Amino acid sequence: MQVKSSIIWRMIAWFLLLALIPLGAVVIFVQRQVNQTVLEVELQAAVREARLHAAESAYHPNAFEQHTQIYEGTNEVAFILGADGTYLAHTDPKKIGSRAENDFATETLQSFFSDNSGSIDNTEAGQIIGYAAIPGQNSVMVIVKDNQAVQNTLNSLSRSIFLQLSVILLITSIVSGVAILAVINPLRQLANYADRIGSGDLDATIDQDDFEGEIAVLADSLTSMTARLRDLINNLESKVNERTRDLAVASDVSRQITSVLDLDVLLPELVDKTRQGFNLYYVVVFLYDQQAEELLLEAGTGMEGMLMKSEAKCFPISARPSLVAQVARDRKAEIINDTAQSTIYLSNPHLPDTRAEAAFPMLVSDELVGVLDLQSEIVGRFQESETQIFSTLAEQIAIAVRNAQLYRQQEHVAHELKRTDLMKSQFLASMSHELRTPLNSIINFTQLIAMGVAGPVTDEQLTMLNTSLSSSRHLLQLINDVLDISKIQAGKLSLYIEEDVNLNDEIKAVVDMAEPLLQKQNATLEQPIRFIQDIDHDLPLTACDRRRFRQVLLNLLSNAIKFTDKGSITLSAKMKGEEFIFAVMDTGPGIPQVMQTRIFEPFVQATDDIKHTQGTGLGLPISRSLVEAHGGDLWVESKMGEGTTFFFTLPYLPKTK
Amino acid sequence: MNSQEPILVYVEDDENSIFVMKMVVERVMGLPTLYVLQSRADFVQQVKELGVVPDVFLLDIQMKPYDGVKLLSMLRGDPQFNKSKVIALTASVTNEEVSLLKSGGFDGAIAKPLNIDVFPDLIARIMKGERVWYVA
Repeated sequence: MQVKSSIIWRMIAWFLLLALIPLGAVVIFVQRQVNQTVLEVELQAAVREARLHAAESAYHPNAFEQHTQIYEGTNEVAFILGADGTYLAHTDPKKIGSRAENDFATETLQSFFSDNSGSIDNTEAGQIIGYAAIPGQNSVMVIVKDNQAVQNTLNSLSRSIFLQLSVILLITSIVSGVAILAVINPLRQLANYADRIGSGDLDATIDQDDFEGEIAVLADSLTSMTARLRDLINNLESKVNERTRDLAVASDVSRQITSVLDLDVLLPELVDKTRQGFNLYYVVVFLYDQQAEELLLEAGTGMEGMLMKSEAKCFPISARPSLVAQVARDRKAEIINDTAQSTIYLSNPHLPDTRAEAAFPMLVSDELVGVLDLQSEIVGRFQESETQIFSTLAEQIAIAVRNAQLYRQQEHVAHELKRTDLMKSQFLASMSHELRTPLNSIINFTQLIAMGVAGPVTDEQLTMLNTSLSSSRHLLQLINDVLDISKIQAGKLSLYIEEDVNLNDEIKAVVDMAEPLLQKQNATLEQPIRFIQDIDHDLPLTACDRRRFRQVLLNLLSNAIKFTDKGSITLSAKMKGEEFIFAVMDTGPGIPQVMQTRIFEPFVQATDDIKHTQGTGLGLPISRSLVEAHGGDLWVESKMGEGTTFFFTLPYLPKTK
Repeated sequence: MNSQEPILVYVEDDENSIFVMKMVVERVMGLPTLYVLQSRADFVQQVKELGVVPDVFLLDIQMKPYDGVKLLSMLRGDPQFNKSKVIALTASVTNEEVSLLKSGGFDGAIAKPLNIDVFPDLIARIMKGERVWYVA
């Protein structure tokens, strides 16, 4: 901000105002007084003159001309006024005998006769009138004096006084102005200097020699204040730089913390970075073992750190004296800035140069994770200002350690889960083997005997063997189904997909497998059931689990055969758009509406008829799961008394080149 | 090679299985004999001592100390038996198993326990040169 209007002008204005007004008043007053006095004197003189001439006239009545000679050639007039108001005598002979009321107002004329003598101030007309009664006569001597000359003199006098005073005032002003400038200029310089400093230009300077006296003192104070300000700012800047550097190190470290989960990698890098970044002698992280109530060295910098880690350095939390243990107990940071003076400092033979030590507890929501210990060879190294940064660092390391530990736990749990899962799979696999093997021995041996391989067999024996065989087969089927259902429910059913499966071939194979079942059924009926095939020729090759496809189709076919006692069974296979649609239609009794959903539940059969309970009750749920695993659907349509049709679809999955 | 009377070699350590196989081969299929060999280091030697070149080797996969896979590699090392078909007999028929067997060089696989009904037919097909993967 520049000095806009110098205060000089204001001061001068005030000065003039304060000086002029009283001065003016005084001048006017004096002038008035003088005028007044002069007027008084003149009036007195006029009266005296009038009395003088009146007396003269009394003694020498005709001597009027003589004693009024003095008025010849002047503006002044003398006359004797008779009681009748006429001029008895007059310096202007022409007026003798005329009436005075032509020249004077009536009151004036009257006043001539009011006293013995007196005066009349007629200064408006430039007249001073003195009158005196002529003793012994009834007339009045009147002298009319010319006031104009006196007035003029007075006026010129007052004008001259005024002028002189003005000149004096002017000179005084100029002198004062100069004097003020002498003060104002240096002040203005200082003002500009202060302004520059205020605007941030701390390098501005002034020449101290330009100033004197009190202003020199002011200049001196200003310059030393500026110097102090400069120092303060520089100091602050360097402190901020230091702090920024610390923060950069800290944030670098914490970035590392959040990106590495493996403690064995993280902690050694962390302590190294901390040591370097903060220029310390030694940095170490202890982890707290809650069970053993011990602090164990986890990572330390340098050779000393490695050495102590290999020694598995640890100590109980109750250890004394020990800065680290104390910090662990109190859960509060502690700083020793001069180890020589401290009672709690425990010196370490591996670290002989330590002179200052600071330990910070690593806490995660009130739980002690460990302690961060910093050592320096410089006494007084750890100041309050850095405490916050180190505390935050300790906190973050605590979190990182906790995270790493949790991660390890999670890994462990995941591993266990995997193991359990593996055990489940192995169980299912081995169960399957364990159950099937003995049963297959039973079946095989029974078969062999029934075939006559071990010798002739009677009809009766054959019947018994066949019963045994069919029971065993039934049991085997049950075992297979139960294992399938278990796998499905455990989510462990996996399809063995082959590409380029020829559905026509598969269908044929299944029909061949179902043939004997059909024969057997027909054997029990009066009228054999017709088996109709409505299969599209040349169904395109597709990807699917061949075995499972057969399983499903066989399941549906054998169901149809089992539950139909008249009419026909129709197997159809068609290609429709991007999927195959298969249907097994029978003319059996049908399935009641309420059962149509329930038959897909494990162990539910459509009928309680004992003949039909040869089934396992698992075929349909398994078939549906198998179809759905392929990406298809299996459903039923049925009408009581008319028959049942089971449909299922399979997506067309050609080999992708 | 006589497709009517194929020479079969069976390598298995379970007695019941051996009994059944013998019954099937000799009584049901009516073949003169079923050669049963041991899973031993001298396996190839055993085969040579038979004095005939077998048509089909039926090797159980889960034997110890040498399972079918190992015996297969032993056999393949000897050019004398190049023409013989080597079939794996396996109880576990997971997808991985089957592809391993296929890539391992077996000419086919038959699921255990034996399905007596289809076995003769499978042998016939194998003798015709078909690669049979009866793992249903």
